[in-house]
Amino acid sequence: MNSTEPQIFLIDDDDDVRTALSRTLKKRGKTVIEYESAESFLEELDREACGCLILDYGLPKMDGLQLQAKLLAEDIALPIIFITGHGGVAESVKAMRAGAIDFLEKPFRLNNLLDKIEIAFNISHSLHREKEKRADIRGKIGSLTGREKELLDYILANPARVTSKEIAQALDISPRTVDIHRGRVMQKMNVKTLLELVQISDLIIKSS
Amino acid sequence: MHNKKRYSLKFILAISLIGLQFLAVSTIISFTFFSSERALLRQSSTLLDRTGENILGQVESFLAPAQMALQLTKKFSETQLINVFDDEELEKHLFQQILTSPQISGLYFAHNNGRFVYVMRTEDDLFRTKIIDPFEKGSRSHPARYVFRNDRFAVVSNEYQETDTYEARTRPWFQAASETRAAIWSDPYIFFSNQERGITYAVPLIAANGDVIGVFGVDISIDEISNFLSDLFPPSTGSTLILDNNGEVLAHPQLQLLDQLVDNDSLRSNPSLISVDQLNDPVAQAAFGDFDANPLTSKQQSLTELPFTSKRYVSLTLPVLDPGPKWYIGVYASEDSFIGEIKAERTRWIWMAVFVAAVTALLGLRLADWINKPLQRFASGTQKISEGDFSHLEDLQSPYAELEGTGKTFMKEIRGRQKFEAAYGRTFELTSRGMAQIDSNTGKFLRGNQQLLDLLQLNSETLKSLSLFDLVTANSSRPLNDFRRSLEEESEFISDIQVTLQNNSHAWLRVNAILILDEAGKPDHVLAIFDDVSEQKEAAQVTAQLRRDLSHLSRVNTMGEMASALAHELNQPLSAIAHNVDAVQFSLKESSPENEEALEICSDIERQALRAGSIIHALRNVVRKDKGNMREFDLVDLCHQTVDLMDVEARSHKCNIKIHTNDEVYVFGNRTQIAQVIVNLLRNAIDAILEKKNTNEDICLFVCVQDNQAKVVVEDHGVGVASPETLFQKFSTFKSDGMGLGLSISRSIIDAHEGEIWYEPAQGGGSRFCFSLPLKNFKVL
Repeated sequence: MNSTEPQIFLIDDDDDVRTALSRTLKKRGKTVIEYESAESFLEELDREACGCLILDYGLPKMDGLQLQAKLLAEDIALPIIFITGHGGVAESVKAMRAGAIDFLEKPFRLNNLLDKIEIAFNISHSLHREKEKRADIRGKIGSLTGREKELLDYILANPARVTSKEIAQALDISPRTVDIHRGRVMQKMNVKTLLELVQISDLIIKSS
Repeated sequence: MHNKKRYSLKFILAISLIGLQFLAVSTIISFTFFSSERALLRQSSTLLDRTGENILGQVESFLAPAQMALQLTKKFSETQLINVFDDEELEKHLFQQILTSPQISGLYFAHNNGRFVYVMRTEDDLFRTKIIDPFEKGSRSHPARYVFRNDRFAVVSNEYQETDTYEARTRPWFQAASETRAAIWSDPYIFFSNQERGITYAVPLIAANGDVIGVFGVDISIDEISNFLSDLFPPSTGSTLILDNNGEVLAHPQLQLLDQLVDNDSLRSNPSLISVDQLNDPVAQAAFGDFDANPLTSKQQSLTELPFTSKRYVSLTLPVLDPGPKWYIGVYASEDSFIGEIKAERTRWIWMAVFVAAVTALLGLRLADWINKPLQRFASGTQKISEGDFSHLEDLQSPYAELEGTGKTFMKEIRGRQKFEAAYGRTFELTSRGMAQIDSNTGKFLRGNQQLLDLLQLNSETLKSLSLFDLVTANSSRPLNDFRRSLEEESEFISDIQVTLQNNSHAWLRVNAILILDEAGKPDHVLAIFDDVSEQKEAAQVTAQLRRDLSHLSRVNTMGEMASALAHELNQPLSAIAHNVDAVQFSLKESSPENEEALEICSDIERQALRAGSIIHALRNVVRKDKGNMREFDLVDLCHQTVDLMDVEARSHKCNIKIHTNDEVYVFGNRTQIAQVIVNLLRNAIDAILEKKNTNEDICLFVCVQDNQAKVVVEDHGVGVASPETLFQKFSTFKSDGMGLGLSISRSIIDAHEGEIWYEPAQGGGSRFCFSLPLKNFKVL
């Protein structure tokens, strides 16, 4: 079912920590890609990547929190597990608020990290599915004609007033034309009821 | 114009005249008083002694007749003038003897064959004769005849008693006289017949062959002595009493006192004499209560002063040596009864002396006045002249030779001085600083200008009553310790003193004093200038407080940062160890699953690494500091104080710190921590300039409000920063001797205040270190 193998992106400026952690994760069959700074990670970043980010909080230049903010802003669906050598309560609160999976203080038990990685992978998968779904819906919407798009927008804006007569009056077209266009929209969007149509379209509106 | 404080001549004269005559009078009075005291005591002693001798004679004359009567009877018997074997003749003789002496209460003869002839007085002024015929020793009873007669020997009545039990041969006086074959005195005792105190004198009648034929006895009633004693003193002034060997009272003016024990029923059957310490006479008890059994063996006197009640008593004890019994006469009397008159006289004389002293004192005052008057006129004349009033020149004609010429010299001197004073006085009043003339010896203010009075919040009169030493607060008088020495050795004195003002507030004054010498080169007075330096002092104190706070904070911060930094540094390798061990464990499980021991060792290593991590975590929690005292404060004010603090350091490196600011910038936070950040930045700037070996550089401190934030910039034109991106990390330093914590601490502080700290290069080389803080309405997390 996975279109892509989940990957672990490990960013830590301390070579020893990075090497050791990467080695033991690889032994467990994980795919680990190492970076020594946030900047080098961003350079090679695949926007569609699936998996999770293990991120050292105290990086030089761009630090963990700044990177987290940047990924959020660019809608990159990589859940983040922070690891830190000098974690404070205030920092962990900031990180968790911004959606981090966890905030682990070094040194930590590997099992603890493995549990979090599992959680992160699951989240990553569902995020990807949602992302694909959104892309699919966007594609379908893209195939609508001008009039059909106009009709869809009206339905989404006024989900309580969707009889043919009401729509015809609002768009200043005949009720029969409304029926034809609506049939095409349902077909193109691959839904059977008007309710389904509203729910699907909502996804796009929310994510945009 | 002598500055030393002097007493008025009138005062001295009055004091010395009155004082001298007062001293003379009181010396005489006290001498008289004490010498008359001694004389009075001698006098009372003599008087008491005479009283004692008087009583002694009386006692002797009381006892002697009875003694003589008995001796006479014995002699008659020995020379056969009377026949003692004839009852009638013996009775008649005894009767005649008893009539001669009223103190004899009974006379008797006891024959050694048991015969007994006894003549005695009865209570109803009759005489009773008792005759017992001879009887065997040891017989139970025997008949006795009684004859009652009047004083003319006529028989009044006769009585006969068949069973009389009296046995003279067993009586103490009979046995004592028989054995000693000499006259004896019995101890005093109470007569059974009439309850009176008495004494028995007995002499043996010895035959030619030496046998004791019998014993003559005489009973003497001694209560008569008490009656005699009562005539000597009124009872309130003194008393005499006669004591025996055992301290028992034989005689006392108040006879009834001696009966107090006899009145007791249980003692009536066996009466005894009362002891002196039981006597109801407190003075006698005090004087003779501790009467010893053998206090005096020869004729001695003792004089005792009794601290008794409010009166003073003297007492005397002397022994009765004749005729026989060992008695003692005690006399006591209140001093007044002897010498009261003399004392009263003495008091009159003392009052007289006081009166004379008062009169002569008044005369002395008048005399002092008279001597002083011309001098006063002379003084007021010079005073007026010194004030510029020359209309009293005739007052300078002194009445006394000693002051001749002084007036003229004074006139000459005063004119010269007036000129000088006029100029000096104007300077004094016109100067803008506090000025005073001070006595060089006492420190007293002689004169102070208005500016000084304003400074001290005093009026001119109060100032003149004070000395420089009175001004300083008790705990800050130290600077003045050197006042006199410094003036004498260096001719000037400069110091800051803290003074207490009227409203109990304090002010700091800088005293600048010089010593003015007179023509002879002797210290004349001190001229002192006072400046109010309170504000400077307060500013210095605020800066000092800030310095202390900073020093403390710096230590705390450095420790916290060190711990935090070390934690980070150590956690990295520990983390690597834990992960590497984990990898080894995994490999072992794959390759040789049975190697339990290696797996266990790996598990131990991992556990230890994690444990080390938790210790570091705990340590960091311990040193993590709180936010401290957060409050609103003026950032500009703080910058000024911090620059004050750093100014010395900057100047010593030839740098100038300049503050550029427009207005007040209020922020909310820990004032001391922010001060530390500013100090750190300024110090970095100084170091950067030093590094460049370029002196006389300015360091600029900008404080302003920008984008709703307070912004502080420290700009220098020193060496600048090579790698700005690692600047704010721990242990990162571009200084040769730094630890690299300063900027890291600064960032921690600014972060905690939700502000930002950053670096930018300055135009034309050098650095700009900046930080921003939220304005005062900022609230902490």
